[in-house]
Amino acid sequence: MSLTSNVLLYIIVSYGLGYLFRNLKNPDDTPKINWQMAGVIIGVTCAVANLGLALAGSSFGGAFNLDQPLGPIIGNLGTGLLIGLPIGMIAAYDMSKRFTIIDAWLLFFKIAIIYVVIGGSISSLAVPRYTTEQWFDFFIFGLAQGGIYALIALGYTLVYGILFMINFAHGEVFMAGAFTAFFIARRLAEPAVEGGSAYLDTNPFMSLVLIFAVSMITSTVVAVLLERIAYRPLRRAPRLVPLITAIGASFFLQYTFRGFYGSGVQAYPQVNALKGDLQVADFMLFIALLLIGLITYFATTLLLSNRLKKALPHLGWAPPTIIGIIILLALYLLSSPLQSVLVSGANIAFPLAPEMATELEITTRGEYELPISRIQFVIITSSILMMLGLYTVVQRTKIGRAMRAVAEDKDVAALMGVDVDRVITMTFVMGAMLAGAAGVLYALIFRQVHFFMGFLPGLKAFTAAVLGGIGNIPGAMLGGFFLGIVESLGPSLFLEGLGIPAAYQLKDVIAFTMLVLVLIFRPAGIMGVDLSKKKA
Amino acid sequence: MSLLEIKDVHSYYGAIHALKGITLSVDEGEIVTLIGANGAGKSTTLKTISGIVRPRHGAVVLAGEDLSNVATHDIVTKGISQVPEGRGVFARLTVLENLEMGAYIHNDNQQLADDLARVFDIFPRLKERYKQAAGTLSGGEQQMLAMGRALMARPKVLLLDEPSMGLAPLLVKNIFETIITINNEGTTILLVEQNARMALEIATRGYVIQTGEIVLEDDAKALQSNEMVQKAYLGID
Repeated sequence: MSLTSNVLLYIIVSYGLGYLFRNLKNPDDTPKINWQMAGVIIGVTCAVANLGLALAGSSFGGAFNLDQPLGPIIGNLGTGLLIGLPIGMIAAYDMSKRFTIIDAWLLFFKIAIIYVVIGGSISSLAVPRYTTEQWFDFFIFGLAQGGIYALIALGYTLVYGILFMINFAHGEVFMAGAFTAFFIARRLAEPAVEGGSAYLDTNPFMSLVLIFAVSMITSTVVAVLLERIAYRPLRRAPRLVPLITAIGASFFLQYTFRGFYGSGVQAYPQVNALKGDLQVADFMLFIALLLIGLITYFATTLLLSNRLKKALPHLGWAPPTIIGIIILLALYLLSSPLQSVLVSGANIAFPLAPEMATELEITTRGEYELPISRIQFVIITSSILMMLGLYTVVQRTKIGRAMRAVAEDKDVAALMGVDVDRVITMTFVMGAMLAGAAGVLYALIFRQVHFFMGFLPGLKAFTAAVLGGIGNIPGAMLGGFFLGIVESLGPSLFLEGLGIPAAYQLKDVIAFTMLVLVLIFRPAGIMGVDLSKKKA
Repeated sequence: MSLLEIKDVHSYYGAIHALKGITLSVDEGEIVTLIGANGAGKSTTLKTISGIVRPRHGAVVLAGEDLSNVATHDIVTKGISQVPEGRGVFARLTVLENLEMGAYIHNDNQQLADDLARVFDIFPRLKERYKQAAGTLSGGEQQMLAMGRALMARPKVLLLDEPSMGLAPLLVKNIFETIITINNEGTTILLVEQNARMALEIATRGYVIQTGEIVLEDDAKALQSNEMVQKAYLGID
């Protein structure tokens, strides 16, 4: 069977099936299967049928030039799906409903996106351009980048949840922290020959703590000043006014920091302790410290918290602070002895075969390398831990409860005795601390800072917040990771398969196309609640 | 001396002169009701007392202390708790979290537990649903939650803004019985109501407000037999 006749067959089949689905109706005259679902069913049917025909010998694998064994199967499935899905959708769509030119355009748009995504993915996967390891690398990189987006996105979402305002200067809060911390990092990295201490190499953990602290504090100061000077006087103004102010504040901060630190791109120093791939020993150490942290957390909250609160009612902040200090101390004091114990333990339990040792050029089990770089591991885990921390603060603590109350009704919250201005400041502080931390993580992985660095990550994080449903905290986390992964996998998966050259340069196109798609098809975001139902 | 005194208060919404010299007082242990038609200024009076609306002239005095310059969020610490009009429960917070918000000004855990037990005693329904989001409660339950939340602050004076609004008659009766219980336990109450019949039945004294001015002030029993009140608010010709 030739390609043309094959295509014609599927067009007829899918149109007929779509017509059938459209006329399967419930007693109340609503279709039993909605048109999107019908399209998917028809698409899958065509795909299976096509594969069946192809395997039966009447192949038209020539449509794609596939020589891998997996190729024809994916190619045939995909071809059927690509023909069946859109035609089925169109045929199953109930035309007697109001069908405007806008609906037609949206339908066309949806089909076009489905073509790009499915078609691109299938032809990318059918001709393996990348190995599984490479896909995994893309995925991990996406996760790391997504963690950074998510941390920034939380700042947008927190402020929006309370003030219903998009703080477009949040990207600059992120930049301010990372850029200021750069000078500390550079000073710490100065090697001994140049009169420096090289503290970053000799004592990386304490150096990183210091860099993070400087970045987070700078970001917090900038955000608090921003709120006090630029936003608070406009609290009662129409919503557009603070939005425009935010854009102005964004430029103001960019060029102020350009004035402070110059317009050049500065290279962040390399942290040698974070070079290379993650080794088994590091991972074991991480798990051990995580366990110590969890035990401390439960011990402090279960044993100490209630007694402390009874004895000293104003020390609500004490348990988390104690946990934090104990975890930091444990990290600092325990990490190297614990690691050697773990490694020797593992070596005794699972002795290393000599052939394997020579092949991999390692001497202990602990040196076995995992397929993820140290820096990415640090970024992913620390961003997840910080997000969990924020979530706990918002859900479990008194200030978090007050934040949620203020988000719902400022007047009633004030009647309960909540100082609304203080809660709003706290919200900016929390968002800024996460942004400051994200700034260092960003600088560690991309290794450069400049005064304009907040712009694009800021916009991406805003996209992530909208993607997850702005105002929704789990949504911002999910949206950040989702955007990071799609941006990292997307170019190779969707675009390269379509033969677009240098697809990786189009990653921003994918990110912002997703923003447009969300705004068109699901304005409330992935986790968002429909605004019309929210007030019920 | 009265516990709560409002002296010649003038409040504005922008250019609208909403309260034109309101003077009223509430003695300790009383239930005082403020009745009047829609838009007469009942809710504005309560908002002025709790500081959401600031009077341009006049003073709100609680136990001898002038509250005119106290921040809204500090007024509750002085002993005034308000149940706002339309309940104002935090719909996305759970029932328990709403009650904890009511006790925001207190930090003592033991006291919090005692207060919770007391509120659950008065409103057993809330105990059954303490984990539920407040937005999923029925109107009557939300009213109970709003009242319970206000009690969590341990107020000297409880301001109630239209507790009967939008509730079925049986529930209204229920709510008014609870108001008496709360009063018997020692909380002074200022009740704003459109349902004048019910309000005058449980109140010790009453005020009638018309377009921002107090036009009548008397014992509740005397108001019930007043011809003007009967005509305008009780529907008796």
